[in-house]
Amino acid sequence: MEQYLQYVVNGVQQGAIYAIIAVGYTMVYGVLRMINFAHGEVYMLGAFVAHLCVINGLYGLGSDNPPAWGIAAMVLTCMAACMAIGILIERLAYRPVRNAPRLIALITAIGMSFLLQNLALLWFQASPKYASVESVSRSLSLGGISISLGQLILLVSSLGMMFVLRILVMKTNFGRGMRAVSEDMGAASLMGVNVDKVILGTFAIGAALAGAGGAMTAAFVASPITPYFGFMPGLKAFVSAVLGGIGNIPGAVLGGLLLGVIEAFVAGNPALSPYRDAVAFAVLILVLMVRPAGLLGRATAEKV
Amino acid sequence: MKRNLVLVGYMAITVGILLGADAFVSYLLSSERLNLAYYRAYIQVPLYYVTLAVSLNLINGITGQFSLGHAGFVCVGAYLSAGFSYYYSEGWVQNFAPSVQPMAQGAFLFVAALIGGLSAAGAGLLVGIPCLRLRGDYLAIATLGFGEIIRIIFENTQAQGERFGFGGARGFNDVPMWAGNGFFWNALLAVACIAVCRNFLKSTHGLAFLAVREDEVAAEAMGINTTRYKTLAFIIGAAFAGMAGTIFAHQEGVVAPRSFSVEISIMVVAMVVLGGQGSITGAIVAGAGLTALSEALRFMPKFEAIGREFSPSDLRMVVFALVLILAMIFRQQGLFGHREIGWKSFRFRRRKPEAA
Repeated sequence: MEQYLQYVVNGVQQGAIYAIIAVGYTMVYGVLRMINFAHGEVYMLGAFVAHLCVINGLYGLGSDNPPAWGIAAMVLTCMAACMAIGILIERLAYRPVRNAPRLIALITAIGMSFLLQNLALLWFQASPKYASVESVSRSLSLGGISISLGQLILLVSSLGMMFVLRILVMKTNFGRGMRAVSEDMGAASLMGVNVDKVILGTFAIGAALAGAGGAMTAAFVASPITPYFGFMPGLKAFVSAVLGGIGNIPGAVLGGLLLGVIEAFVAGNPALSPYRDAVAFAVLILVLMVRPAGLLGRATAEKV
Repeated sequence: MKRNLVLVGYMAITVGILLGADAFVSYLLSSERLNLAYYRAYIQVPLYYVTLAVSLNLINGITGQFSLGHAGFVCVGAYLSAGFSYYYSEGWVQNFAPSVQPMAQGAFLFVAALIGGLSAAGAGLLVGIPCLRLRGDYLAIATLGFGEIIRIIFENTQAQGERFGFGGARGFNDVPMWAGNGFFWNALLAVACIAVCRNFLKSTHGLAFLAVREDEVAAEAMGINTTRYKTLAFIIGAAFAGMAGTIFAHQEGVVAPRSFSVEISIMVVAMVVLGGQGSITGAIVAGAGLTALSEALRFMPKFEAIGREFSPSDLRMVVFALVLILAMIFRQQGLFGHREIGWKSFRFRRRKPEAA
């Protein structure tokens, strides 16, 4: 029993990371109808920015017991850096192909993903880097279930960010613009919505969330950071977004958590654990075949 | 009957030319006039990628599906044919007298290629059926997923030697190197792949493929069985990829899962996209050109940047990624678009007056 509870805890923690990346996927898909393949790479770059912060001892992170504000400042720095990267990607690569067929945008995004991955490989090289913060990645034991303070922070802060995002989308002017653009880009621009700004903002928010996810994974879960750090999580986040119903923010969160838990159970089974990465794709294919609209999505007819 | 004879004649001539070219290349090699690395880089590796690009073009360009899992098909072909050669036929081949040894090896390689092709075609069928309900970007991600699943499965089959298995993450070692230096077989496969795709396109079936690409709904309405053609494209494309994998395995002597990563699929997609989705000649030119370019990077001098030394071969994937992005921004139809280059394009043609 305790073992299964531990799986759930691990799964929810990993799922929170998928969820935070998946939200970026889902928002961009909702507004632009394109899969931003390079999103996982933004997450990877966020982790590398965290690494740079730690090795340069910024915000007192060089010490053995870094201050809480330092960790928060590091995450914010990563978010800002990734926001800038997201904006650059949109301006340089995606805006020129915005009105092209969807496949063109997909190919551009795949190219972007491999470009970022290989630039990171050139810059940081293949050897794994770390940005772990010792004081929060130590594990605590709660009634037989081990969980680290960092994992708790990760879970709470990612759920908090989703909540803030929900308010942003539902209650603010910018959010209204986003919903309008996702409904009909042309009509929204006729009604005075600045479509360029809304799309840029969507990319920026998504990239910032991915950056926060990358930084927190690197710092709190103490994962080794390599240039390939973002590829699999990026794909799995996409699977999460599809599982929850792409274009739907609560759906992405639900899908992420669900996928994390499924994976934790697969990884816990010795016979199945090598196939951990394959399971996500199996889930994707299954969802697309059985319920293409996802768990929380509405079915829409394909336009002819 | 007469047509078949002509066909056999063409085949014999092709094989003869290739054998001659192979002998010529071998002569150059033996006389050490050519560096082995250069030869491999500029002749034989591009041939391998030409086969992959042309076969993927049948799926991506001509039928308008978007598959990102081509490396998975190569993987199936390479592993299963290597298993056949290693476990079932190596002992047989050694029984032949030394004088007929090369012939026997060639014959067994041919059978291995059939097995590689058929198994990959089976994988193509397996991928094609569930993916038929998907379109565009979803299909791309699903095929990418299938490619990864295939690779992960082979990565987790350990035993090799006495017990049947595929060697796991370290790779399948000691595959009999029947393909020699690989030139003849790679060239033969490339020619066969181009011939099949080209002749296919000239037939009624080929027009059906094009119809599926242009408008699936309209094609269905015109009585074309779109499901059938989409699966067929997957099967044929996968079969050639599997045969390319067979030759790869029997020429390197080693098959490792990392040779079939997503990067390979993306490289081949870059070739198809750059050449023009739908143009066979485009796929050939872009496939050969991009591989030759990326191989050429290996021989370029090192340079220094951001306080570190780089060799240009590190830039290989950066080049491929940039090619993809720039092609999509500036020339979405690729270099050749839907056009083909053949003898006819060099002939003087008077432009017909436009019909009123």
